[in-house]
Amino acid sequence: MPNILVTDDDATTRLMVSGLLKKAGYSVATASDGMKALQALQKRRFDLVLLDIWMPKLNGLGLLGRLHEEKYVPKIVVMTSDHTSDTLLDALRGRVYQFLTKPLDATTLLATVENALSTSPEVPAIEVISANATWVELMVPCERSVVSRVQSFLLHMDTGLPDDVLERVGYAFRELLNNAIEWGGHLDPNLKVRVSYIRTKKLLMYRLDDPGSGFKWEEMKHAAINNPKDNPMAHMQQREALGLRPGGLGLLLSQQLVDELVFNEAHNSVVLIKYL
Amino acid sequence: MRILLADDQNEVRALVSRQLELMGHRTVAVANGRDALEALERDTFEAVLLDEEMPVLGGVQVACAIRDREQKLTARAFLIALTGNTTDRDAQRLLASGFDAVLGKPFSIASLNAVLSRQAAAPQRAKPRSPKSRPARDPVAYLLDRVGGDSKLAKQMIRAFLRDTPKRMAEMRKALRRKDWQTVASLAHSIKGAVGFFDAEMARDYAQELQDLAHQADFPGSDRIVMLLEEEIAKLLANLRRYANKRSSSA
Repeated sequence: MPNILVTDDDATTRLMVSGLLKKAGYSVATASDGMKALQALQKRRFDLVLLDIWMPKLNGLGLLGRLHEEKYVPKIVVMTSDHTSDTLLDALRGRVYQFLTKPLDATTLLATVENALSTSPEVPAIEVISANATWVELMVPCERSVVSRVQSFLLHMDTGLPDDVLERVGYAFRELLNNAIEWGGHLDPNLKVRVSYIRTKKLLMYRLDDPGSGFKWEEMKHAAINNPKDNPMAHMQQREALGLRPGGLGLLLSQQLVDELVFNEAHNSVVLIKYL
Repeated sequence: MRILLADDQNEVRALVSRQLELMGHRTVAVANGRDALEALERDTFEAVLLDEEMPVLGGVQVACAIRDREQKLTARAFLIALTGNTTDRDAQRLLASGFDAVLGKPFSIASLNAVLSRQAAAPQRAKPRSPKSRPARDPVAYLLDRVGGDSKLAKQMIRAFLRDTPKRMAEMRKALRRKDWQTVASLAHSIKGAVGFFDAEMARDYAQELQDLAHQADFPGSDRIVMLLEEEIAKLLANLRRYANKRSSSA
């Protein structure tokens, strides 16, 4: 049974998280501040730590710093209502696995925990190349679970965009990252996709460089982007014939959801731009 | 036209809302039936597209709820079912449960357009009203939803909240008097987190504002916001106490 440590100074939150996790069959311990959490971690091996940022005595970020001095570091999911870019970047630098936004809900919490615990420890970590508010650059292993993880950080960065616009940009970003990992990296966790987020006064830009050799448009009959104008669902038959999962709308949608979507010649690098 | 679209599939939501926009409509897209009902509380739509099969609340249930509410109103929403069940029988069943039109998936843009023009040509059924701010939801129902319906856990959380919050507010007053800004900010942050479980939007906003003002060491501003926060917290506590008492006396 996986062991989980829940660290939060708020008793209501501790009750909720530990109650839901216990009911789902996990073994759960709680700590009400960072010092107590550190002591618990030195005594016992935990598979996962759910960590609040704002806590008395030793806060979450302080605990992250202290943890990395230890031999064994469990997976860490940060849960906070504080989505300033600084907190996100500190969490990223502290090698946090994923970011959960408060107020929490049962479905998201359990899905995140399950995802974190099911990722093999052999999957290489997300490597942080740059982490400042205007330029975040990461090397992410080609593995499915990284998509929601990377998104939990990058989509909470302070972009100044309204939520509905951000949701669309997020959709396009997720599609492209999925493509890069699946088609470019063949889901091989030893291969990496370089993900860059760049924010200037006038634009928000994501760039994805995948480790694959690219693709040609004419080979993309299974994608909706190649459908004739009068038959927007043509690719569905194509996908069924090829035995692919339903979908294939990703590129078409992504193109429509952002201001610019530009590929390099080989089609293994893509830039997505939203003007502010 | 102002259109509400409810479908749990991201791709369908994004594709259809984009197509509707290109056709000149304004779309609000949500992922389940409950969110659709909430959107309808806040706003008026000239057409509502509901996927038949969605988590939380399916299209038929939402349609029934809408028709039920409308009994007290003169306006009537134009409801379109989106469904993978495409036999005539299915269409009849959906029309009988309150839908005005049925579109089988995958549907073409032309057929969607045809259905929408039916509504555009019809005499105005729904009087558009200006969007109003969201009415406060029942805090306990909101919490229950957050914890996946576990009423025992919800009750424990309410008890912990009732026990800790008055203490925190008292500490906050003291810290403010001492001008201990770090403690004020930290307590405001905790309160912001805790009230989030009960969808107490005003309290949450005040707590956030207080956290910001504490960072700026603004005494008059903080003093004023603490008062407003106290009022909101008092309302929430009273509401939750009523629930806790009712539950324990009926148990």
